[in-house]
Amino acid sequence: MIEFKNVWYSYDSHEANKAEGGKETKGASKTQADWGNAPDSPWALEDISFAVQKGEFIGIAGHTGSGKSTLVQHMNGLLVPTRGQVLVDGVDIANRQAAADARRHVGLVFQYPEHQLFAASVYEDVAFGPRNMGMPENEMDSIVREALELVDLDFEALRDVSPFELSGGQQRRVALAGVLAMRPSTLILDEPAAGLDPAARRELLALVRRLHTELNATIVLISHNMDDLAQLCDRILVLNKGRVHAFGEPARVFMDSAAMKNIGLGVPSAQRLANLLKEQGLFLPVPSSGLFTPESLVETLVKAYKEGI
Amino acid sequence: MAQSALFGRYWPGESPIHALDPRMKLTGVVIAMVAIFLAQGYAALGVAALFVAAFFIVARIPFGQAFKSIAPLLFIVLLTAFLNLFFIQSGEVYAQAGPFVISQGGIDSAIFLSIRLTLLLLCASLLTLTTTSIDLTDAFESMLGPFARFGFPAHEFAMVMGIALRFLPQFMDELRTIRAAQLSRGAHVSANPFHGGLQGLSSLMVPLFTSAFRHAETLSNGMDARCYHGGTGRTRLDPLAFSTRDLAGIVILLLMVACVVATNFLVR
Amino acid sequence: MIDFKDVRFTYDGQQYALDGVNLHIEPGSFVCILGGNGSGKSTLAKHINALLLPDGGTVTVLDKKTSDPENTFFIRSNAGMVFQNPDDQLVASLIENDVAFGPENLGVPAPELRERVTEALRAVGLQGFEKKETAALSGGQKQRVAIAGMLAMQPQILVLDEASAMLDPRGRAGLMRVCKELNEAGMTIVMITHFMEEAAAADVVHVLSGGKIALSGTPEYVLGQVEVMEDLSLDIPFAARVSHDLRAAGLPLAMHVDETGLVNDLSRLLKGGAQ
Repeated sequence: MIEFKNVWYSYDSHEANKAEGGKETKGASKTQADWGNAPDSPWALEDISFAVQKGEFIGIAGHTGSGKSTLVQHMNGLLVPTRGQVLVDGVDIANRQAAADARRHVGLVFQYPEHQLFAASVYEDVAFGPRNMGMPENEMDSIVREALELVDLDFEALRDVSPFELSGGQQRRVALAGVLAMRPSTLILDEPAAGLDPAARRELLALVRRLHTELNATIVLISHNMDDLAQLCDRILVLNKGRVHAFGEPARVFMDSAAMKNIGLGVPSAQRLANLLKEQGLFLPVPSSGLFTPESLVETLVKAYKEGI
Repeated sequence: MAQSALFGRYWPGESPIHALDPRMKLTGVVIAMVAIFLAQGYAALGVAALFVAAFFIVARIPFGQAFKSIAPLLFIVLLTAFLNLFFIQSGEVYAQAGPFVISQGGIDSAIFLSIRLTLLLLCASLLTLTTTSIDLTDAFESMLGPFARFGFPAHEFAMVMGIALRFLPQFMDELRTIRAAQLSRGAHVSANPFHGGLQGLSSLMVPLFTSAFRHAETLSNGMDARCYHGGTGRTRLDPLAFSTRDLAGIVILLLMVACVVATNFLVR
Repeated sequence: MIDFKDVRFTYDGQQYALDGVNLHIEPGSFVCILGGNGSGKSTLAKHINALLLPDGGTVTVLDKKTSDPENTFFIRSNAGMVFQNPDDQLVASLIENDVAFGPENLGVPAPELRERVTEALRAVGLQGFEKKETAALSGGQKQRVAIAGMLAMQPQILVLDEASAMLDPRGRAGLMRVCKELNEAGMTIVMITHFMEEAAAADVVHVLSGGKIALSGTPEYVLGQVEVMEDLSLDIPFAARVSHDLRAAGLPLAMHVDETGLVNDLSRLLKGGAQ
């Protein structure tokens, strides 16, 4: 379980404290890069509180600069809150040792993770994490094999191949295996399908879903794609300007389409179509699980056509 | 991510110093450095420091940012100070341990050289803070131009430098991401190289190099697509041109040299 | 304006990345080339401005063959190209210097350079950004600067090679808007992508698979071929998916690729059904 308790974070804590003191920040802060959508605020995260339960599939939405990447880097102690606490299984991970321990349980897969491959062979790269974690060397073969099989790669065929000779999609799987090999109970994925073509994208999301159901892993998925989030996640955290805009089940989060649009996000395609119909005076009955898939929309429409609205 | 003044990074502005011809600034930095080297005592160094401070004020760069920009290089200053502190023996001796002696002379030269080096670094930093990489490379190209007839690739040299400066902030960002990612895999990236650190180091460096190659491929395609074919026949958005302002700049810098030298004579 | 005749190309001498491509692109059109990874779509894009030359067949751009080195600069300055990674293609630290890079290489004199930079930035909605640093921009803004850098060469064709693949939805929408505006002002746009919404906005869509053109036509026609597109492991737009499934379930609907059309049709049908 990962718990955020009133977490504030600033990349420049000095600047942040100055602003807190009521003093005007001028000069340097004016030329600061626009990392978010509140360039005047020195805070990248403001008063974030929420908890991820064991075995949950959590989605994080918010457009570029809303603080998503900053937030997830708090989950394994890469960043330490300027104020507030992050607890992993009840332990505050603010100190180095606690953070190092947390990284055994919380695997973080960055955007374009294949850009972090470095070893001479697939085997060595995948074994890097487990070795750092002190996992026993005589089990390494089975650890690496298991991780590669989880991402549908052939251990025997690829173990001695250089990761740089693989295709982009395969490289991403190897990178993912490198994190899975540490056998984390929680897996955080930052836009895992970014830059992939539709086929590779579908496969990767199916893989993530499988990791959740088969390994019972807790999953935190950052995505721009509202369809994916709505279909995959138990709950969705929506960030805006470093603050929690909404947190809850997809049906609840997407209920207010206008609010989502206001912060630069959309709603799932099916719901968008239902909203357009609503504007024409056609109110579709929304099933309790929400209108998130083409299948559920088609079903609802067919029923409406046959039975009338 | 918060951006601040960094050595080698441009600090956008429209001050008189920003507006100077980069060739003048390049020459000017050399003159200012000569002045700093000529200073023989604290008084003369103080005069030089006043001039440097004035330059930063005119350039509208806050002192805090000025020092922040040279912070990564301060280890050179510290190293020099330590070497002087321990190895120069003259005047009263305060402490001694084996070959290491702390004496009045050592302390004096440590302080003096630290100030001098800091001023030199500030001058170099002022140049890069107020001059875009393009201007800087144009200035290099223009000033190295005479050597081109001896086969020196002045244009190519300048182009390479400009691109290196353009990619510097990006590589810093990438390195930060790579480091965070490897830390997430439990890497000992800050540990010593004899304790698993070597692999930790390569886990940072190999991705950085592969990323550089990846960038290079698109970059060269992009430059081809924009009809890049070397320096011949190229025009400039802002052709370099000396103005009276640049002349005034040189005069002020010569004045700095004169003041420093005069102080050397007056205060002994 | 652009003609591919039996174009074949191979990187390694064994496998053809382009395997007999025939393609004709009309002046002023908005053309989208769809394809999965490894379909050859980026290879095709690089042939349009002579970054790659065909191993077999000919590519003609504005009546000039790309294979003749004499034509290279003419073709490159008339067919601007924007690449996938926004971080890789900008050469200068300041925006104005980057936008000026192309025309500088063409030897455009200084006063006109300044005008071209201002005009190009205005066209992509970044007026007043001249003195800003490229490093401080968002991905979408960087891609627009890259477009401005091409516009400053005053090309007649703009090729976007998966230029939106690394952008977030907002950056993607901004890029699409700029392309639409340029197209309305007469620019020929060739967009290489695997995003279906972008394809739905084009005049003509070509689907590339295994180095061959597998399907060509209006977006309505191409994106409506649900089974074919799925065989090529491509997505189809949401509206096409829904109208296809509704038709399969027996509803008397036309095939739609855009949502407005589908909603209007549905609205008519359901309101009629209720009466």
